[in-house]
Amino acid sequence: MAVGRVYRFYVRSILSDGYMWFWAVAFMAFWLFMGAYVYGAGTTIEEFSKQFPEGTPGTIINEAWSKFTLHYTAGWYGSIALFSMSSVTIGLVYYIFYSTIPIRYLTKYSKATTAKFYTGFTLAAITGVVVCTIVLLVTTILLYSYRFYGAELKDYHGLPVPVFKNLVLPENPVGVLATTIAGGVLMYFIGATVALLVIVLKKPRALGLASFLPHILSFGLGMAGLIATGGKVHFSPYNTILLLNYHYYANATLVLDEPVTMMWRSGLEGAGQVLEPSTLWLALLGWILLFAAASVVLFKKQRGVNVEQILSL
Amino acid sequence: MTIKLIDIYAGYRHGEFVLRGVNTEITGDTIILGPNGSGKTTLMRTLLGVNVSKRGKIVIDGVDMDSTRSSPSLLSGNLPELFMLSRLPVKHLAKFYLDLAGGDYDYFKDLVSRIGEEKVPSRRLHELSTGLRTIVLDALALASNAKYVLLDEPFESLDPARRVAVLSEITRSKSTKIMSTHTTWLLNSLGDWSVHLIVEGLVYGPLKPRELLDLKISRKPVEDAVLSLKLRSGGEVYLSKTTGTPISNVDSLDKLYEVVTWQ
Repeated sequence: MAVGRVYRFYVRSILSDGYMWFWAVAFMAFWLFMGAYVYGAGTTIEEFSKQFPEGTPGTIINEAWSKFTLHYTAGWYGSIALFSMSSVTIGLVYYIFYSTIPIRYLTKYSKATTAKFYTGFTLAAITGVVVCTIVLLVTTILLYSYRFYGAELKDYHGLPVPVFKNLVLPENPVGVLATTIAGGVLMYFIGATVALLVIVLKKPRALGLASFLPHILSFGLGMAGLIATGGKVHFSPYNTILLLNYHYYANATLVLDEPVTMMWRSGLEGAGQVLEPSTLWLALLGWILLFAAASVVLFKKQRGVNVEQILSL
Repeated sequence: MTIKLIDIYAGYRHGEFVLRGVNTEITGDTIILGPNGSGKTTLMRTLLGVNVSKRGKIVIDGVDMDSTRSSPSLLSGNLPELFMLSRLPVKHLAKFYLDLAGGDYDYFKDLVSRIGEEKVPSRRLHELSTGLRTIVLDALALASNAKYVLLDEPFESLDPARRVAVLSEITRSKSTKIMSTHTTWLLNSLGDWSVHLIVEGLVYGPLKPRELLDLKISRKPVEDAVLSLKLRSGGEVYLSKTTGTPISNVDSLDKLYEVVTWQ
């Protein structure tokens, strides 16, 4: 019952947080729009078909176009979902940091034990991440389907309703959901590690900068793996989420030495060393266990922040 | 039914304690009187288990406070830092706390609507005026139905009518109340409570309000002193029945504050 109570309170807090909706959803939706209409401005089937020798049957071009748009959409969804998750982490760092005193009080003088409290909190964080990414997933599908295939307005009981000619849907929605949930767990433990590290080091004034570290790292590593380089960067905690989402969205072959944007071509050509999703799952689970262990160690080590210091922030 | 404080040192910065070896026992409704900076809030935080630096032992009903875990209805408080940083309306925060603590939300709602304003439960805590926030925090502590209710400055920023209303709710509560304040006027209404004085991190007492008002203040040593207040400067202030300036009523009790503050 205590877990449920803590869960409901934090879910309500997270989902009613305007900052979270702005940074983790609205701002990310803006970048999805940029991906569709600015970075992909010249990407049309007419331009795309010029890459094929004259006389190539239309069905082959259409099939290749369909594959290309799916991979392009998957690449954008994978990276934007990752950045959205790490935006949520900024808020989680603050929630965890400022909860240390109330938790000390509640675990002494209420039904909540430390374990129950953190279970409820973790589940709420995962829910927050899942809700944000589902909103972004739906936005991605609608936006990129419209961008690449267009839509017609049809009359439905007097209301104009857009009917999409083709929907760029994820090939494996269960895989996307599983990646999102695992990503939520990872982000919670990264947030907890950062917040508890600030407490253990007794540097509460560093909270502002520290809270942005996960987001900055996700952006740096995510962009590196997306457009710049392949190799070991794909095993970073952030890139595993990006790659798994990309893989499940497009049913893409993952190529170790390529950045994500080049993988679809290498995958088609059969070039490069193939990266199995199971290897990425192992890496992701390893990161989750590592950050969970770090959180537990830091939690046991922390003696809280001085009340006066927290109040003076 | 006691709270024992055994050689308690507590504070916030390395080696600098606000409470400097407190030894006392609380057995019933108690007022802790003391000037600003004397350690009233630190004492409350220490009793609630949320202070960082602490030495010594607090025993609540025979159980060491450090080993107390998941004991709803034992202790509650009105300190703002006990409550989550949240943008949710007050009603959600209150339901969360009172559900976990085994409290009574309907009583809370009635209290804040009656003494504060009808719309308080649907507003966010940080949007309320300081006075209304005080009422919400007091109501959260009182509605928790805890055995011991700790109220730190429960009348702060309240207008005179609301002070009387809050005091009336406090006296009606069946819990054992421990109330820290530097407001002395309320002693007239709380004749059967115990009074502890807190001065520069040390706690003195208990006395009954009437006993306190019968005492006289002297800065010179007095042989039959009931209490001698040790100041950081090395000096002492003596309270006795025979020598010095009579306290005599709650207005002149403020003289004691003047003596210990402007030593």
